[in-house]
Amino acid sequence: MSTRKPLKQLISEHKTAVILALIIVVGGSIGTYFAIDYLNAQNPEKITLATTTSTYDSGLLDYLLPKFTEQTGIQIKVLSVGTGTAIQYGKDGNADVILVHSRSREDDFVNVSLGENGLPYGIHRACIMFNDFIIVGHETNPANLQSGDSITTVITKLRNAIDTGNMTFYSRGDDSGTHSKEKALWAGIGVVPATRWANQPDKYTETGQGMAATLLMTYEDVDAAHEGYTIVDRGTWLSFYEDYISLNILAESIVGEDLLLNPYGAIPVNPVLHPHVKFLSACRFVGFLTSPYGQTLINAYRKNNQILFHASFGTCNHNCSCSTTTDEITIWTPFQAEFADLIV
Amino acid sequence: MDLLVYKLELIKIKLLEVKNLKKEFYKGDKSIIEVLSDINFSVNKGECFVTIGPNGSGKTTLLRIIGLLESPTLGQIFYNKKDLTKISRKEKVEYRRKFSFVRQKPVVRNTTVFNNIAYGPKVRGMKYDEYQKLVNEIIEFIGLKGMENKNARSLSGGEMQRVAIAMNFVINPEIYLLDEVSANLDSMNIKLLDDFIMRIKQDKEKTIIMSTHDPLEAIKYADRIAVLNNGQITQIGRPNEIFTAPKDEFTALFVGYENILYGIAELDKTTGLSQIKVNDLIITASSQQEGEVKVCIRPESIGIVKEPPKNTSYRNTFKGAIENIRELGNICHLIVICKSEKFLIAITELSRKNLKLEIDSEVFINFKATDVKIL
Amino acid sequence: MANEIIEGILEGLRLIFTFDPEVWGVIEVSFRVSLTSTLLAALIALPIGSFIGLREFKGKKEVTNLINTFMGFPPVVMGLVIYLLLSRSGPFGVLGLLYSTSAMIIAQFLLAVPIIMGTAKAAIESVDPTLKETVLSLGANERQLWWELIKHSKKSIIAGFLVAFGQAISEVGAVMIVGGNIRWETRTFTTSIVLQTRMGEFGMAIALGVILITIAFIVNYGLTRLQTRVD
Repeated sequence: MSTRKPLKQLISEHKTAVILALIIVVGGSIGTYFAIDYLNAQNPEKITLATTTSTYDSGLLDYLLPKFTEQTGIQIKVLSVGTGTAIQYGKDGNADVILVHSRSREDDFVNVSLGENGLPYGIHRACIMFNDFIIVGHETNPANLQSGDSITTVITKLRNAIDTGNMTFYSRGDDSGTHSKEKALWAGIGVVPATRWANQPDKYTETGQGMAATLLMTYEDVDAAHEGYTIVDRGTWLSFYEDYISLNILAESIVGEDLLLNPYGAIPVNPVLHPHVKFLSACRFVGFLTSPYGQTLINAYRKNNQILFHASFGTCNHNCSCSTTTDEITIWTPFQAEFADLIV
Repeated sequence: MDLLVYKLELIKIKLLEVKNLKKEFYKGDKSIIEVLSDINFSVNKGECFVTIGPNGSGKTTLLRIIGLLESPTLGQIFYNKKDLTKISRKEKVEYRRKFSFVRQKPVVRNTTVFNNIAYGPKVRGMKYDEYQKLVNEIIEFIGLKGMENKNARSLSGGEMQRVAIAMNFVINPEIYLLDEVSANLDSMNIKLLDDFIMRIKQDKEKTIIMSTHDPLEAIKYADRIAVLNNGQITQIGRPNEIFTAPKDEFTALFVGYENILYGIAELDKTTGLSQIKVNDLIITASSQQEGEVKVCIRPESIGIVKEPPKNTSYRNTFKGAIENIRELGNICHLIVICKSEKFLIAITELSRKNLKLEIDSEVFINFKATDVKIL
Repeated sequence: MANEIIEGILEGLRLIFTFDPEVWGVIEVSFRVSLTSTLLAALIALPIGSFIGLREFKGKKEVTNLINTFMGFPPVVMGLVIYLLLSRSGPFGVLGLLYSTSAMIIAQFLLAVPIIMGTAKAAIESVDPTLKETVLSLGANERQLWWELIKHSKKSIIAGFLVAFGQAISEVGAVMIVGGNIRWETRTFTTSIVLQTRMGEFGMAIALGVILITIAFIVNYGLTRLQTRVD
């Protein structure tokens, strides 16, 4: 038998030291980890934007944000969720700025009387851009929608077709901006779909999922009778229309009507209510979006060679019957100054 | 015989004392099984104490309780006056290190032979340099040299049992607890085990408590025997007490009867026979052995006559007197005193009547040299 | 559609082997988060779980029930709980850990702890009791016995670790909620697949799916090897 001490022997005779070293290494690295994330959270050069899936998934933000970071050095973490969730993130202080599309809830967000402790959740809304919603369905078109129909006509036709059982309407049903818009359209003719077609999924299906999933369900339809209709934002539609060949645009906004338009607004979260939010950086971001430079970028963005978003800061009183345009210009102009010299 | 008893009396230090021990197990349906009840005995330092009994009599449980692997339901165990049933978890480890426990079925750790045997010293805080030599010595003793680095689990049953015994031997405990260790062993391993136990027995500082269901094994090693039946001790005594005078039917049936004598054997070179001096008697045995021995003669093997036998082929003939007669149906047991020794002889009731054997009758007993079994 | 799948797989392979920074970033985040959380969980759950398996004590049955309940804790609910705790308006909001890898590690850690604890406990309990007694009778103290049993049941313990890791890396609900699926930072295999599917970019989704399936396969292969290996 050799007298050589095997390595295992050495380890087993210094077990305590080995275990201690292990704990120090693991504990140290984990601690560093948490510390880095903690410091990142304090870094004013890193802000969090809560936005809707439609802006993110269309690729617009991946196109815009690097240009903002390049100019200011501020990095933006994007949380892409439904409008309802994004607004809730803002209320909880989990985001520094929100970019959403549901005008009525945006107004509530900056409304003093609807805030917390007498403070509004957000400070100063800014119109950024708009796109539009379209209503898509199969070629069979059982509701008989015609191009040139006014939106009221379209919605009435849909209601009648649903009532007679000729078609199925697929709703997001997830409190998103698209869902809000859809509910607003039904409300225009006095219909509350959730009660009118309660428990009748063959007439009115709430998918509870994202736009893509809802579009897919419309395309596949439940009984493959090609009777499905849904409302979709144009951005998402452009990502999928090549896949869902039997779906067509059956109704869209006609000139002089803004009911199907979909305005997006940006709101920084109130720093008095949530002292940790990086208000200044958030305001610089809104300044970037509203500046002529940012607006030009938005207009220049193409997906599949199609325009997705139309910049609307300062002009939304014309196309989206916005009432706060003048105030917005006063508030945000100072923040646009640093982007004044930039050209696309 | 008396010499040994005397020796024992002299160094009689109660090392371990078991008092009113009781153990109950709960079955799945909440019914209680009493495994041990009212167990009382003490073991002296240097003694080999054997519990004998059939399977299921509670031998293993008793050893496990003494080995601190299980707690009794009731009762106390004193080790050097310290009650082992009332000690802390930490103290238990300390006391367990004074014991070693070899079980019937060998259990080895999933590592090499060397590491298995080194485990005991290692957990006691010994360094590799300190135990390395010791372990290698033992490996040589058990005949597994060259297999140090083999996984112990890949060994044969006998080899594994040798490793298991070596694992316990190397830690040099004060009390060896051996639970039916010879069961399932082949003759070669039994020989090795025998060497081990004899080595321990020679060291008067070491105590053995073992269990067995083999009466011959009990006779071979025991200084004292406790007969266990159904969780109770039916009899405790020296081997010859148990085997010539069982207290009840169970003991008689289970252990059988044996005449057990202690003596010193000498080899007679001319005849090739052993002459065993048992106090005043000299017994001739056919097996060859020297030194201190234990001798067994079955009661059925001893013949009895009234007149001095002539031209007998029996090598052993002694004159004696009948001290007692026990009638057991067709069979009857006679106790015959020949000089210093007592013999138990079994004959049929009919031949006793024919021979007119009564208490105090003068008789001659004889038996063959081949019927004398040296243990 | 079949064409699309093949195209997607080819695109996936291209992305992997051209070292597409986005794909490899996602791989890196997934592994970093899941490995850290499972290792950390093992570091804590292993001693506790094995200790519970080793000792008999009052209330052990209740503790066991609790562990078993938490072993099946729905990850989405865990995500929600961590969200509420780490949210700026929650009790630990000051730390600012929401939407960071730390938050994901915490969620996966809490999901992994009961799994590793439960398997460690079961592994220790399933060790042949005679081995336990042999080790005790050879003079081992509680710590030495514990170590011996750990070594003896290392296969089951590693299996438990692999199960926890497999669950962590393929889990989507909790990391989506507490990580926020932020590009370059907290985007993992699963959240990325959700996003890419939503965006109609099936190539990348399939690429990540292929990697995830490969990992699942390796983990399961390891598990099977562990369980069928004879020593």
